[in-house]
Amino acid sequence: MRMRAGIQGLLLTLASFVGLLALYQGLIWGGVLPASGGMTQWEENVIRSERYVYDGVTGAPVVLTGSSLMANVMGHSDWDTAVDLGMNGGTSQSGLEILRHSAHTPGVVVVELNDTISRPLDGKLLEGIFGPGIYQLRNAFSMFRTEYRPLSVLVRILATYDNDPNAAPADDTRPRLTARDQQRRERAVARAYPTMMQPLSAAEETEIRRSAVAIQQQITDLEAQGWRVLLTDLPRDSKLATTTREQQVRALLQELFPSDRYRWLPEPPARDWATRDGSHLVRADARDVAAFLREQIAVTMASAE
Amino acid sequence: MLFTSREFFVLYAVTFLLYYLPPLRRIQVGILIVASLSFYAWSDPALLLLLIGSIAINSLASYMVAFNRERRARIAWATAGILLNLGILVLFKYGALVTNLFLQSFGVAATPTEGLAYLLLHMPLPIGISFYTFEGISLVVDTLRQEHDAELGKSRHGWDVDRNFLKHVANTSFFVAFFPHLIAGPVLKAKSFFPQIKPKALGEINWDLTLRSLLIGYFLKVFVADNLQDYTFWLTYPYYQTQGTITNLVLLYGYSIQIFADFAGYSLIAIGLAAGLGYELMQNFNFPYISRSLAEFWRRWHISLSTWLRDYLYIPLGGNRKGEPRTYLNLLIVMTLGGLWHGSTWSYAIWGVFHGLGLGVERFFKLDRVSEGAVAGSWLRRWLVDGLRVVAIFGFVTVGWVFFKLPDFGQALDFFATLPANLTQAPALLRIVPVILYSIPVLLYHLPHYPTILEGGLEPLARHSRVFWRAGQYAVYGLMLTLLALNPGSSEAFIYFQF
Repeated sequence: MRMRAGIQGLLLTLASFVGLLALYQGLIWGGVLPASGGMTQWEENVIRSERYVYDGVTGAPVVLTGSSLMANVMGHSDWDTAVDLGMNGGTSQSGLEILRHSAHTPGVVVVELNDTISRPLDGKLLEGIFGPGIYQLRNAFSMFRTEYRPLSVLVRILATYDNDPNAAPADDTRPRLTARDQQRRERAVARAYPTMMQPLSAAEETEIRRSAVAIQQQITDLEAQGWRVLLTDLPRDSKLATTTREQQVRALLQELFPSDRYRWLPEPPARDWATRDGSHLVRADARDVAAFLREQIAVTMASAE
Repeated sequence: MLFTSREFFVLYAVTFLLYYLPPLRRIQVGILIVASLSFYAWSDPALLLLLIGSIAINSLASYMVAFNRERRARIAWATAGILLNLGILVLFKYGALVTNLFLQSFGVAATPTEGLAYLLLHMPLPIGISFYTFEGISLVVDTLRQEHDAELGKSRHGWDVDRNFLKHVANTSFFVAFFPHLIAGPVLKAKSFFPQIKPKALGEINWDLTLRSLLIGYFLKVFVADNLQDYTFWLTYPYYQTQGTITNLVLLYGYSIQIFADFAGYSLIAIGLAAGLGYELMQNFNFPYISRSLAEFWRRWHISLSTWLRDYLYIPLGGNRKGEPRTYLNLLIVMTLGGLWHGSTWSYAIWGVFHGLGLGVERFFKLDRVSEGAVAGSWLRRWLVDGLRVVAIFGFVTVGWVFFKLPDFGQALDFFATLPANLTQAPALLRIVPVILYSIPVLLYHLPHYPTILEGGLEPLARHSRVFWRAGQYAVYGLMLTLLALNPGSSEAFIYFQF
């Protein structure tokens, strides 16, 4: 009697569950529910990765991999055709690993190289995209993708409720650096400066070397698949550019990725690059860097041909 | 091994299948012991030795207490059992704290790099140690009390230590290590668990309890707590320093919801898993956030720990039987030690003192009596008065959670100092709105038990339309499953695993 009642309840619950899933997927396929861009940095990483893996890109893409520095640059640019695999809190290795596992047409991949490469590969993100069964499930049913998480979709709907989709975008007349931005910048630089003036410890250098070996292997594998690989670093705050650590890391990476084997993009012109926190460029400077990268990638690929 | 991991689902499925095979019915307890030890050893096999050692100590101590004719010998064995359990707990959990205090007292500035001090400062914290040592103590004390009562001619408490020592070791192993409750409770009592140890059949499973507990438990943990943690992360140092006051307060509220959802979710999962194997674990949470007094809160929150502290600490200290001043002191001692049980930093002790003082003040002004009986007057008046009380107690408890989120006492104080300093900063809606949305299920979970509603009763509503009521229930369950499938949070260890 207990068992029968329990099984009855279970079946009714499952029926309700399947019905709700079918309804939700139907609303997505019908274009009723919008995709979200993510409510947290983790969600943003996953969504951008999933969109590349499950939706792909037409033709040979330009893919930019890196950390939140790259994500920040690409987030402020209007370069719609490029694929941004900059990982907030992450490293180029994660983006490169996504490319290695995807079966899309190879194009150009730009790899951000700096001290962020010593961060670990995001195994959880990769498993969430390529895990057995998960890949097929999310490929077939978009409701299981991170961009369609119900609460993220709800927040997106609430956030854009009053917006007129037909309205022309407002002119961006915001100043490059407000007084408040400048204050924050000064504080962040002052906080970071003592650490940046310390040389890398033996353990830190070992970690960078170890990660570099892994990235070298990833690059070799991608080149074998037909990808053209370009390396770059992104400008940090100009007030920290000549610190001991910054210079040491640059020299180390030049040694680990020599220009006779790897193709480096030219560095952006030296100027007062401003950040909001000592690392991430302010909006206007991020846009300039994105435009510079775009131009240099085109020039470099043209000269290669 | 987390309850939300793939490995655990495999372990439980295999255990369940073997457990109910008719030819293996006689060794059901053995199957669960093996499964439990495997579960514990998964994260760190070396620490399994400590668990086995604890089982051995408690088996021997309780056996000697049960079958020793001399009262003094029984007390000696019980004392030895209690001290050994406490010794293990103090060594592994408070070794570093005590060592640091010792070093500071003697003005030793340099951190030791070898020797006993180094060892004590780097002791691993075995998972579940706070729970299984307390259970060992309760086994030994309950056995002693039972024997003393039997000597005085009182009836036995409905359970007995098995005369066969090996059988008793098996029962004790099962009691201590049973995997649903091993890592984070509920803290079991021997007198309620031992009588349940017998062969179980598939047809005896309480499917309604099992499935409902598992569904609600996983929903609270995976959907509510695991998602909220992505936002309450911003309450850590130094991030809260750059956030506005409203944002920080909402995130703190979110942490209050998260810690409930995490721990209550875990407890419900434990109850469901145990029920699937035929064992009933005690309820650990009874809708604590609708408490109208702090005393009521402690009757509804982490019930297994609060009753343990009452039965094995508060009452032996004299409880409320030694006059008012002694009662306040006992409350303070018990709550401070209860705070320290959670962790070996001063923040946890301060949290305990905070609640101890709160209970004392409440008792002094007789505010703890407010939970007894309904407020007089109209329904609206009762609703408002209850509402104010519930909000006040929730606010008090939430302030206390700062010491859990920021175990560094200096950071906790800094957080409070940041609140008035950042009043003019704009609220971060992208953090506030999700926190409010994710907390709604917990509010709805508590709502039917809100005092005025509960006293009004939901039964008339259910009686009028039983079909729709049941259909609505299954629709809600279906919705919970849907949200679990589509909107899970990042799988992380349960908060109480660290205690």
